[in-house]
Amino acid sequence: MPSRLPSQRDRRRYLLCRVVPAWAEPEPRAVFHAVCEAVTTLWGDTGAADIAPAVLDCSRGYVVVRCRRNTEAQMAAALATVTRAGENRLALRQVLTSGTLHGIRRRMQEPGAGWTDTQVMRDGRAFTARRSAGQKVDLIAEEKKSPELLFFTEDNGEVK
Amino acid sequence: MAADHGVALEFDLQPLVHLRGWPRQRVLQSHARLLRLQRKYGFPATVATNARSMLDLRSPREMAALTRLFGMGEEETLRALATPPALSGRRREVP
Repeated sequence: MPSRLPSQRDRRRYLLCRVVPAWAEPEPRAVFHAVCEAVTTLWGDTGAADIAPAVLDCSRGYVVVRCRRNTEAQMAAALATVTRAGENRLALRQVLTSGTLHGIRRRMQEPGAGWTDTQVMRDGRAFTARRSAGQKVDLIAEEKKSPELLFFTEDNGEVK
Repeated sequence: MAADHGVALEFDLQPLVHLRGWPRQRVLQSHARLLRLQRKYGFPATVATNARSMLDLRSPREMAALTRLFGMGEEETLRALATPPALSGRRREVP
């Protein structure tokens, strides 16, 4: 099928959302189902068909969601009602709305966006120290069955 | 009476976020009715998420998107968000 001219294509908008908490790493499929469920329950089937939600990317603490142009407000309201993706409780904070994926990627690559992981050993246990947005550090115990989040205070010492 | 005594009524956004289906429809109807009364009588109103964890917190932009569901405008939402500081800063006469 020949591709349509740019002027004949559907106008889209891309929404960049931050995943809260930052250490939750939901599966893209679970996020897609959560977003679709939120849109459908809030706006109904016809509204969801009009909005045409899609999850394009789900990585490094961000989710990129696509919708039709002029439905950003409905999409934002639906995203505010997302409370769970699969087994994870989470929230999606809208950060940016853009007409191009280029603008979204540029924002994702800004310094301070996303997180950096460092391996840390404390008291004989392995932790992942996750620095988010240059502001805070989460310590996540590396256990396969139940990852444990530890609150990091001054008493614990600094992660170098 | 609320307008005379400077008592604010709260629009609770938590059910809008957590409920689905007809319970949420009932809450939307209730909020829309309360908004009509607020516009008519001009008593102070406030908007809250009643968050119990950081996952329940919503930004002002998200709150404006949620309040739009029952017909509240963005300016009205911002005014409602500014109500608690305005009320707490006001000096009240003790009878």
